[in-house]
Amino acid sequence: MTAMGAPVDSIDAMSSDIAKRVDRILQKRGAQSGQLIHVLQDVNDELGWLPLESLRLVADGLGVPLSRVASVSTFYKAFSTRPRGRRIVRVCMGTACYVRGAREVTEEATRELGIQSGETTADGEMTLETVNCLGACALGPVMVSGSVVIGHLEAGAVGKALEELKRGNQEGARALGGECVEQLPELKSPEDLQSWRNQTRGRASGPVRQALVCAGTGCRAAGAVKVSEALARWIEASGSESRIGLEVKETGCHGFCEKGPLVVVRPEETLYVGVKESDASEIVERTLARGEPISRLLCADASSRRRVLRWPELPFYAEQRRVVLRNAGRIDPASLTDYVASGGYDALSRVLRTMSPEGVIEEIARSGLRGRGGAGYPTGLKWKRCAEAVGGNRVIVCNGDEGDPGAYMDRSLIEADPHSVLEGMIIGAYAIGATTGHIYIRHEYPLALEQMGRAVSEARRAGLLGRAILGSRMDFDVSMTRGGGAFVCGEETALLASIEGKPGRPRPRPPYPTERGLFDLPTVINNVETLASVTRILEMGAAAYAAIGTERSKGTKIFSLVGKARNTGLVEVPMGTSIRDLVEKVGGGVPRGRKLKAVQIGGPSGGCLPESELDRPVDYEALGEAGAIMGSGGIIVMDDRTCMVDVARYFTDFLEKESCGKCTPCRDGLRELRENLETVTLGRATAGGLDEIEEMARAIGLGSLCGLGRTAVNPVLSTLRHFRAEYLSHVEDGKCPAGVCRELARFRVNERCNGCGLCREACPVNAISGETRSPHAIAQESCVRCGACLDVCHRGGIDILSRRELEEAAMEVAS
Amino acid sequence: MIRLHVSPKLCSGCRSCEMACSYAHAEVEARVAGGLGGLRPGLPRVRVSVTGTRAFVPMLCFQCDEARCIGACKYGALERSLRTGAIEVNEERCTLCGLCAAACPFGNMELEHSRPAMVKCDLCRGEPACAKFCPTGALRGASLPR
Amino acid sequence: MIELRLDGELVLASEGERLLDVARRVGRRIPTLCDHPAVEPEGACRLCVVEVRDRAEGPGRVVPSCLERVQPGLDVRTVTQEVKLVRQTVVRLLLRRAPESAALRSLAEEVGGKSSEAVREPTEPAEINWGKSSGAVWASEENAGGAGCVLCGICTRLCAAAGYDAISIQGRGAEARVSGPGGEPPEACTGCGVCARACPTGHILLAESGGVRRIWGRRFEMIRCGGCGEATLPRELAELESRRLGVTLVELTHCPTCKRRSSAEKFGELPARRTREGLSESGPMKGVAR
Repeated sequence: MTAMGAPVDSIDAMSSDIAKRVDRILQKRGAQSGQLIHVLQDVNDELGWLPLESLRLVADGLGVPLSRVASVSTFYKAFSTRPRGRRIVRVCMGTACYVRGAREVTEEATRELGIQSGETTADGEMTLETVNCLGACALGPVMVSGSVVIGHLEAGAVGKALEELKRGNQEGARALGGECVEQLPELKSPEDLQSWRNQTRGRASGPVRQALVCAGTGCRAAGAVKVSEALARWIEASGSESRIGLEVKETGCHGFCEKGPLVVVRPEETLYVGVKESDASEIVERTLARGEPISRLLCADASSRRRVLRWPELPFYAEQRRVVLRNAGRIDPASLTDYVASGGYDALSRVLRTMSPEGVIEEIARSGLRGRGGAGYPTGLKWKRCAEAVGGNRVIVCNGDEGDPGAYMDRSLIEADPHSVLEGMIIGAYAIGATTGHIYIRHEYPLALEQMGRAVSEARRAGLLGRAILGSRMDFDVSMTRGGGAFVCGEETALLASIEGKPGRPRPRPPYPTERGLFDLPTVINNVETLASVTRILEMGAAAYAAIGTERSKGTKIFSLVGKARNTGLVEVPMGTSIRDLVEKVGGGVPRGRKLKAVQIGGPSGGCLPESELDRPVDYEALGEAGAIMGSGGIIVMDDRTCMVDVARYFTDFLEKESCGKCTPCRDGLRELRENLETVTLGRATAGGLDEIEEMARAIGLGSLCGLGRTAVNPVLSTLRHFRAEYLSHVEDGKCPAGVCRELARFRVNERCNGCGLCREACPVNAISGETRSPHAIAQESCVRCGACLDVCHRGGIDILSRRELEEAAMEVAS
Repeated sequence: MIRLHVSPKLCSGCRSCEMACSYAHAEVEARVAGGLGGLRPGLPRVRVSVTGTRAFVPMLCFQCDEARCIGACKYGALERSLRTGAIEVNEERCTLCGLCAAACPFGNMELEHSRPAMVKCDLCRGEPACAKFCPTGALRGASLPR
Repeated sequence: MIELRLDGELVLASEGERLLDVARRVGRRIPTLCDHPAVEPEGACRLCVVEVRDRAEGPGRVVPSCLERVQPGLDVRTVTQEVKLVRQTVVRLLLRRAPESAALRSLAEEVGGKSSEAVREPTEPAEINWGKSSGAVWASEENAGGAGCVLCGICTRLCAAAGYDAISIQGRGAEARVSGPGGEPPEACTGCGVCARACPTGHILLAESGGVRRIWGRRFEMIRCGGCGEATLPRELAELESRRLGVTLVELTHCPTCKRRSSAEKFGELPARRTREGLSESGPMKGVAR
């Protein structure tokens, strides 16, 4: 084929080149069909996309039918079946970013580049893609390219950002620095572990003062690595005398991502926020050397505006109870030594020495721990069922395919404290009698993959994985799988299919994975947070853990509090805390004097709760009653600039694209549901349209095969239940009260305008005119109805009208 | 267990067996638009062949012990009846791929176009009609202990 | 034996039986689309849903009867408001994909409810003619391109069961398509035509004329019977299966009529032999060794 006009021999040369590169990958991976996804990932990384020819080579190499290879390669979003540009620019369309204007950012990027999402510019330079969620929710809207993360991106700055990216990204080389191989002892018994801990503790108590730089994804995007490097440089430069006892350490996520980069100085626990490279010398000279706080770097309490010295006193932290996140932000996630020094693997050692597998299951059951992935199935019971299942080998799988847009607790936990997850997994394996484990992490989380990869290899080197762990009779090892970019793979049976190298299509249950799971072996699948909780329960004891929380929901839960709240970030609170406390005390309420309208809980399968329902406690049952779910724990705060119909449409659109396509109601029903919701946002729906939407939603919920489809309609049903008036306003009055739906919203400056000019500057299309200090006006014909003016106006000087109201107003003026 | 004994030497070529088979496998058709419906005779599973020496040979499935047709089917649509010993076509499972007929060395299986379905001798589920109506004893059914 | 309740009646079922089979056995009509007896059920179309309760008072669950197995004391209802809603919705959604499918039109009549506005006059599924020339026209840029694919997966499952694995479902969600790898004509296709014959909507077109079969954008030469010249099997299929079965290509591609004629010659000449009943008998009735 010479469609591109290339001479035939150069195409032959290209083919043989592809063959060589694919062959290298096949040799590295080994020719087993179970390697299919890994091989495809490598080939996709190597070639940038997957030409049909490469699929043929992979099929031949692994002995898998080409049709299956094609099926897998077209199922996962991480694979591209079209050539892509040299730079791939991704705009996050997660919920948190969406409510903060990701749609406008995408539109601006399409305008700037002259291509649609998924397309490549004619010069082959850039490919524009939208992704479901990058897990940098507190920074939304976010755009990334390679390792460059641009947070808090406003539509107006997109052009500049793209130009920066075009010029090249030096930061790309950064990543985590080279692999630093630390000498680890080989632990052959619990005593070995204990003596190593004593040694490392001795060492750890060394420094007089430590600067902990948060290097989670959020703070990295804000430049945390540069800050930490600068701190190290200044310590080095400050002379041999004073340098003794000073230390800089990069830690995992501290939770307060919005204010990054964060630096905590210990032992004073002074928290600095928004630290820049240029602040480093002052921090070293004043705080590290002399213990003096620097007032301008302290964080101001969102409500009292008072500057707070120690982080535990900030309301954002004071209302939290950090049990699972205990180590997050305190230890270096890349160091097993650090983890052990803080008491890590003590629980495992005690379990192996003193407890029977049944005893462990019993202890977990007593703690009342329920699955943190969303459904809340009792963990002890799940383990028990697997332990009792017929069959020889057992498998434990850690589900880190955190796909809910707006939720990133699993990512953060792995990035900050990977060993606590791994330890929980080893304990789980001991309890159910598993010899192999799999850790599945989505490919959108490169840092989490890296930290966990390092944790696994360090644990293996130290003898915490492998044969005869800590001298016991337990053999256990884990392998890691990088997810392929399919939301549905968070569903456990789809996840197993994915590990087996098949398209991630769910299969019906029963049989449950505890009876027939991975490669038909009895399998326990636990979420990341669940496994980290297991470690804590065995450290603190079931009774102490069960004392936290409510009657039916025990312990603590990590939430990612994002959207329109003053303080956004990762928080851990006891079960039973009211949603209102979470939003108002921890989150500091809604900024810019806007009104809190709704809270979306539980991701795409969750529901929207109105302001009146916010006194409900976070508890699996209490949330369920209100039409929401615990889900994985994303809490998205919405203010009066959020249109609930549009939110329902957004989630339906998301799930439509993520439907695996196996069963009819989910595959085709969600498409029709989204179309019908669109007619509402376009103002073209009839009164009967709402009933049709409700009926379709019910049918999808009843008839779908897996949990994805069955719960996909929760956002629609819950908004219809709690915000029906807003739907009716769209349908009957042709008005979007939030001013979000473009076809319906018209903006007009009212008499409260004092001519400050903020809106004029914010308008991306220069549709607002007016002299400073005299009332402004919006030119309707050029207004694109993005609402940027509404967002910046402090005085409520802009009205949202329906098209009809605007026309009537114009008539009045004319007459 | 039913066994059909075939004696070509006794065959007179009257083809009563074909007729009997055809009616034994007839189907009652519902009335369809533009037609009257009624009885539709099946394709005979037994065929009287005339050899080059003008001898008559009634040909029908031998129900081979090591049957190639069963080995050829990929969909588990051919099963031997434990009761009669006949190899039967499970029409629900059959995908009409035709490999069974192609594999049969004797041509004793074929496609009935009008239905369509793969057809072969099923020993009339225990009472072979051909044997019943054979006037010369060229086809005789016998019940054998299992 | 397991006792359960079906629409209020007590029925007996054997261990492991599917609810669908039990219900049909006792005369209930349950619509299905993606169920095919030759391959494992998938529960994909959701037409066969029924409502079950583990206890009489417990909450009902809507489950596909093609997958759900019998359990002692199960209370099964084949027609409830919820079941109807799901079935009607499913048919309506599928009709959007294949508005002309006669099979779907009759399902729509069966389950009732609102039928889609998009439905046009029904036409018969494309005629498939085995071994004979057919009037069906190959008209597709997209490989299949007939009445509309409902993604039931019968074709891909059968293709896998046959061991060819030529076609598969590619992509996901509503954009998923059945096709050869990369949307190209499937190289591994043997032209057996099973997918076309099993397709419930007649979406997969197969055409045959002049000794050439066309399907999935590929052309297959039909081998002609060495006796009479009738087209029998596509060459790819015959060659593959001839190796698998250890039968010569010539034997495999002789038509049944010609094979019968030549074997009759052999049996006619065999000497009569004694049998237990004293009758003469001909032919190798006890087993045919290859």
